[in-house]
Amino acid sequence: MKKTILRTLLIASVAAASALVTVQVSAKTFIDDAGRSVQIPDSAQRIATLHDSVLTIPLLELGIFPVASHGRVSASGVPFIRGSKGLTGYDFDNSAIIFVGSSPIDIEKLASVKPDLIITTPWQKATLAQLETLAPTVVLDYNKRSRSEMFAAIAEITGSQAKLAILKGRYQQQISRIKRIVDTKKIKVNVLQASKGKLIVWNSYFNLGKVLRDSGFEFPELVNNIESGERVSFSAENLQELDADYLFVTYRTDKKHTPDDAIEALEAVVPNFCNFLSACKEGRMMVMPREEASSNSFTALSIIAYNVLTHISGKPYLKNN
Amino acid sequence: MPTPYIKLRLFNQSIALLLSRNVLWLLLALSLSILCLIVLSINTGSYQLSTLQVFNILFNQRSDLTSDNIVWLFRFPRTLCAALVGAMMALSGAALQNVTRNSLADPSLIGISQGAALAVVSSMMLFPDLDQSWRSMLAFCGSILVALLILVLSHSNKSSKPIRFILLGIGISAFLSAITTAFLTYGEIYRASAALAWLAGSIDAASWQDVRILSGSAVVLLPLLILGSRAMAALRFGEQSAICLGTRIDSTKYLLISCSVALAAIATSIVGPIGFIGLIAPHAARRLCRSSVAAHLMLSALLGALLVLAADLAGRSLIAPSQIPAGILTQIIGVPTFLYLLLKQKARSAM
Amino acid sequence: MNSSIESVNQPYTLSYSLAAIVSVSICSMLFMLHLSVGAKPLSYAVLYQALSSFDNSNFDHMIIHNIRLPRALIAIAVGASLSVAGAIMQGVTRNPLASPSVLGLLAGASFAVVIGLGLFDITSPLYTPWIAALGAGTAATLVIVIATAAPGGATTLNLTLSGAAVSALLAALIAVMQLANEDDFDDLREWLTGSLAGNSLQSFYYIAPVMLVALVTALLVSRKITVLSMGDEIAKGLGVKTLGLKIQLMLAVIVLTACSVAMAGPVGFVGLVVPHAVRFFVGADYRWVIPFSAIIGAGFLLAVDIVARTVINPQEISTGIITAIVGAPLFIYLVKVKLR
Repeated sequence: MKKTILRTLLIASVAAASALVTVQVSAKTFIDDAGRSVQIPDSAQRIATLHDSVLTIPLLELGIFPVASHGRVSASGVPFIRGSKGLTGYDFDNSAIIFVGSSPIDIEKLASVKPDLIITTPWQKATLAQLETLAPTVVLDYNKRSRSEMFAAIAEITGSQAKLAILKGRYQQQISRIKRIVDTKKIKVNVLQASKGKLIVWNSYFNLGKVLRDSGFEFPELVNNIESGERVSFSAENLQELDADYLFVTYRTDKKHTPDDAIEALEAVVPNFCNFLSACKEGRMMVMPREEASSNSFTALSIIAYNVLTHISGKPYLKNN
Repeated sequence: MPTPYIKLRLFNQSIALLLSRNVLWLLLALSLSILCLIVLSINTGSYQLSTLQVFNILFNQRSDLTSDNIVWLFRFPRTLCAALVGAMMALSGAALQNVTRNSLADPSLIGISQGAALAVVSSMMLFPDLDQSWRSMLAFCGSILVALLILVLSHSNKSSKPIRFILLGIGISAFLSAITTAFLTYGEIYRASAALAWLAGSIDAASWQDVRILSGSAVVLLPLLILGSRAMAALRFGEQSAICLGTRIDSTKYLLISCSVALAAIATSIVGPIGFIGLIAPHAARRLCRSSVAAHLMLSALLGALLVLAADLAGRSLIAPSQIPAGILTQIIGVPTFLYLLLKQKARSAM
Repeated sequence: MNSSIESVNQPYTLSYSLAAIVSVSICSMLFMLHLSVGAKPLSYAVLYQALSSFDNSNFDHMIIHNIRLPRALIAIAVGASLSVAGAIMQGVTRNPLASPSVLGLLAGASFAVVIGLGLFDITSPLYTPWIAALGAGTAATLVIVIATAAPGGATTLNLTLSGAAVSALLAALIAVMQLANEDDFDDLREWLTGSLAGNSLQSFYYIAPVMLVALVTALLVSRKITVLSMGDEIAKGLGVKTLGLKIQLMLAVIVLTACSVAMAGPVGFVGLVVPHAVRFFVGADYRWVIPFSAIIGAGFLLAVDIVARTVINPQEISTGIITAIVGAPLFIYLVKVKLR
């Protein structure tokens, strides 16, 4: 009798424990970027993503709707998933995704959506100790992973590698098209941005940098010397060393800026800058929106690839009679 | 918290005459408000739980695991931490203001905030892999080391002018803050914003372990400060007069400063730099009621606790699910309150 | 906070004048050095040509004329202004912890710029200086009004307390804005530390005359600051109209700081520390503290900016960060040696 009770208790507690940790019996092990080994339920249904642009958008592009997401709040108090409306079409207001706060997210709000898997980043302030009490929690660190590695990890965790392969194939096709039409090895490019008396240059400016580097374009030496993934604020005195055959300058559409704002900022750093930059003087400096250039998204990569190709190889055609 | 009783008894024995009825009522009212806020805080949150459910969970009728976690792991320790941290920072500031006789003194004067900030920010920037659990330890070591550095530098010569101590504090703090700012400005933006969030001072991650550390150190350090209150009263009139009044200046002063450092360092290590309470709570206490030094210390502590409790509660519920760090709300709530007191009341006990 | 008035003796005047001449010449040397070094190496010949026969199609000339020259001039103006403002604040409030930031000036300026960017989306470098100046002026006025309205009036304690409170509130609001959207403030991070980069000569021409007026005012009343720094009672006993004088001095502090913030952002440390350093050498007589604060402050910021622009070429570090990293050890050493 006693034995039976003990056994029942044991089974019950094991069942309870496993129900808490994994929900489903079948699970795979994933070593996350905090070095933890996490048991991930094979068919997690209620995923919560704790970084909008880095995690939520990739998840949506892989065809999975998170049950809850981190987001930002606009000046007028409306929460949004940054960059999502323009890239995936989805946001808090037109989907079932629940807004759980920014950093730190509201842990109680997250608890109330009953997630079965949480994906977070080291940037999120809510601690692992707290998150783990709600559901298995995976940490993905975008300082350790490139953007494509980020995508790969999210695909592995959610079992959507097939969809990722399709997205990658599309991107490869776009890059090979650039390589076929433009002799990229012979063209030097650079992306710059002016701010408060400095010229800000990344080794590789997110999507725009990735497309340019993957296509095989050359960069100024000063830019190649920047550590990969990092950026440098250069003195205005370095302006001419940052010149290239094609220059890309970005402005923020989400803040309702216009190309004029980008030019004005450059002008403030170096008066008459255009006279001292061959790309600008000869009409090979492109001013383009920053959102697509900097989001973690295959849709954005497509847009950028198309733009780069058009800017560099596209020609106004005038028939000479 | 069993400490108030100990405090009261000690207080009665040493300077019983100065215990006015006003002070007693005020102490009582503040304690009651703190109690009410604690109850309110445990009943408030985004996760829907009725007061009855919370009551059941608290008194050991286990419901589902999530509800249990919400009350026991999230709300309760967080609430207690807020109260303890507020009290400790306020005490630290009150003691420092008395010892240095400078109305602008707060724990950041002895490099507590800057030391903690530098240790945490540099580790977050240079060793991003380091586990979050190290932050408390780093912050504590950073603030203690810096405070020691300032104390040692200012002590090594024969003179013990408060101005020397203050100026060295300024110099070292400025130096450390500059390095921290450099990290924040030139570090990777995402890491910088994580560090910034820590610097804003927040109690969201508080655990029972933190509560144990905070209450344990408060129990040890509080009586020491109360014991030192007589010396502080003497010090208020300047060191010369304090010597005349028979106070052993150096040892008492360093004991008090050490207590103050320890209180602020421990509080900072757990919730990040919430330095402002240390500056404002003692002044507010001074304006609420005329009191002796010991009573003033207690009033400061209770005011500090009340302020941080309110700030944390408001910060996590006002615009939920968005959260406002307690350190920031402390300032946003504390400043208008303080300015009101400043405008209405004259300081009742001299600086 | 400082030694007595005894150190003000006539024999000192000569040696002080000599010291002033030496410091000014060191400043001029620093000024020339500032113009000749930078991210792009330029010869002295180019420097001379750029200054004597400026050719606006020549990039090297442009660097000297439009980038380095405004920076050097602004370093001088800001260094002098902030130091003098700090010296006045410490004299008037008789608190060694006082500096322009205590009146809420730096926080006010930062807050205005952050709000301008966050809520009204004003990023244009053309407006930033004016918004900053407006914020600094408003915050300081608020602090003074509160202190005056408090029981006891604008006493040292009331001023410093209301200043600290207002600064703290503004700092908290800035932090809220920063946490709400880190990207918006990526650009501002550097400005908030105080930076001399990205100013035109034109803005210097607008602002410098205003600063000069405030500096001269400070010099003219410097003798009375000495009296004021001995306490209100003594000052009144010596026949100084303390209230009028205080108002005049606070106005000077506001103007000096607002102008500095307009050009360089909230540069801390200089206003707090340079006056202390100066007092170690010239004592408590503000007739000397004020001019020496101006000269030493100017020279200090020039030197610091040279370091900021060259130490990790081709990158530049924000001047506001280097001021404390270079200045603090120097200051600690001074305290150790001079305050035995």
